[in-house]
Amino acid sequence: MSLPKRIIKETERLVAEPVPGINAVPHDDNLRYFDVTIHGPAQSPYEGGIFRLELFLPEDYPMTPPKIRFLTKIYHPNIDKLGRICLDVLKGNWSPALQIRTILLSIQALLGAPNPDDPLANDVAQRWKEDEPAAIQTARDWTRTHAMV
Amino acid sequence: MSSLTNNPPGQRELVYCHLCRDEWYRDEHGLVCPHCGGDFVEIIENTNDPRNHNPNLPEVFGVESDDEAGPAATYIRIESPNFSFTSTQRNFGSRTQQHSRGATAEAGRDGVHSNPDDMILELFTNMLRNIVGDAHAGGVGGATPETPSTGPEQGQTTGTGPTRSPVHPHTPMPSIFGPPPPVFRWPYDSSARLNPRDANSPQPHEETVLDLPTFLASFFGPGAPDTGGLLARVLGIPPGAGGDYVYSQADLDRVITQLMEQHQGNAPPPANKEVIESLPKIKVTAKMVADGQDCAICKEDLVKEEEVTKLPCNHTYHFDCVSRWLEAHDTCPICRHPVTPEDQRPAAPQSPGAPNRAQSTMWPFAHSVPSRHNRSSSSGPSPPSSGSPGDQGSGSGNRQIGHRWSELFRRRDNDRS
Repeated sequence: MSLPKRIIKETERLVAEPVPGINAVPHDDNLRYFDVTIHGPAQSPYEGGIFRLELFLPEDYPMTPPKIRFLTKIYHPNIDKLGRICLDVLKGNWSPALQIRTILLSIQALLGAPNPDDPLANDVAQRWKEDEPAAIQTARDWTRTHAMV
Repeated sequence: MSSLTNNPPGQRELVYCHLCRDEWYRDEHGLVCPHCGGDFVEIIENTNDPRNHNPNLPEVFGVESDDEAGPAATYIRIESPNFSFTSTQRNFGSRTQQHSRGATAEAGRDGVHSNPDDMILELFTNMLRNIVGDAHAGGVGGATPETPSTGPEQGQTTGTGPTRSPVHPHTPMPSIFGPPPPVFRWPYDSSARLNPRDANSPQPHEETVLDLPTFLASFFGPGAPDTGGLLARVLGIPPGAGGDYVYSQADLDRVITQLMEQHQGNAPPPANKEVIESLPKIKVTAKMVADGQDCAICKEDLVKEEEVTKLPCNHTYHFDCVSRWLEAHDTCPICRHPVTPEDQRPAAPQSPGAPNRAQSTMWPFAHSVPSRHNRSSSSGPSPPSSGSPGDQGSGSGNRQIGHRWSELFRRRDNDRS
């Protein structure tokens, strides 16, 4: 199946004008499958960490959102232990005008602004609400353990 | 269920419950356990006392062959002054089936086993393994008589009529007719299924045992017996712990991920088809090209004189691009303005004042709105909740779904711990 022009364009632009702190490289054998890294935002418990993700553009992209998952373990109320991400623009708020780069920016922003009121990892969200400093410290510890290699 | 037993005449039938190990006289309480209400019961007979077994085996008195029992069958008899244990070994090709029968143990009454629960569990596991193993070997032809009921020893039976069962000559008469002693008992084993104790005298509840292989096969399918998995089911070990549970953790994760991906939550409904068809089409002007406008869906630059579709919000797309999207969701991809006029929209419950989740929404399109197309100039009064993308999408419905998912995850985690 031929690759839609849009995906080629997006890929070219990701390479030509990379977003700071974000890197997305398609697999040679599957141009819909991307290896992604996102740098933890400054002033967040994820600062200094480099988080690996996988991104897949489904058949009907951009009519449906990309499938994205964290591969690096991360302590975050909106990301569960399998790396699944709770983000509105990846679900019902997807729009075909969004792109890989904007979605990855959204994820980076989510790292900087966890939202324990709309949790995916319930235990993490609970702790975030009850003892935020402790939760942030755990997130920092996890970043050091898993995202700094 | 047979009313025939091989107890001597005048003896009261003693019934034994395999579930709670209670005993009672049949003429008093019948064949349902008066203690636990179970019906996994057996009438205790001279030739088969399911109760007692002393695992500390005494010396072996003798090993002998019994041609009557079929090919390659061997009886092993173990005796001590207050204990006797008879075992039949029979070879099915390379498989060896072993069972014990007719065990009585005066010594067992003292409670040799320090942990009865462990013993029961162990015996139960062995029982299952025997059953599954037999089924696996194709040995379900359970009618094969293995007990030497017609052997030369028959002359030594204590029975007095044709329906009386022979007693194995080497098995002493158990003293079962007194008050039942509180001892550890032999719950069951596969021999009861494969080897009727007496071909002339059908045993109570034998059909239950015969059904077990079928029962197991229905669980495991042919060729894949797994007593551990069955044990997990029977004993109520939580899912995932048994190893082959249908909902393994990976399966569950996969299903949930799929559900999460399919769930579009508060995604807007499709646009009205006629409205899509009647959207105005315009020619791309030189100014639009000079502004570097593109179709936000296919990302192609607009070409002069090309025909594009203009939405009520003044955003322009290729018709093929935008109609495909609008047929799924009635929003402008750039600004989320619905194309269907308000009075033609299906009544969609919108929750005003829903909490905003602005921090997770990146809306990168303000730059692509041509400046002359500011919103106040667009068609009439702007519909509510169509303005900034951040206003939409994280309505209460979304939050509820989130809570439901987290509830699901919590339950799963609890199950695992």
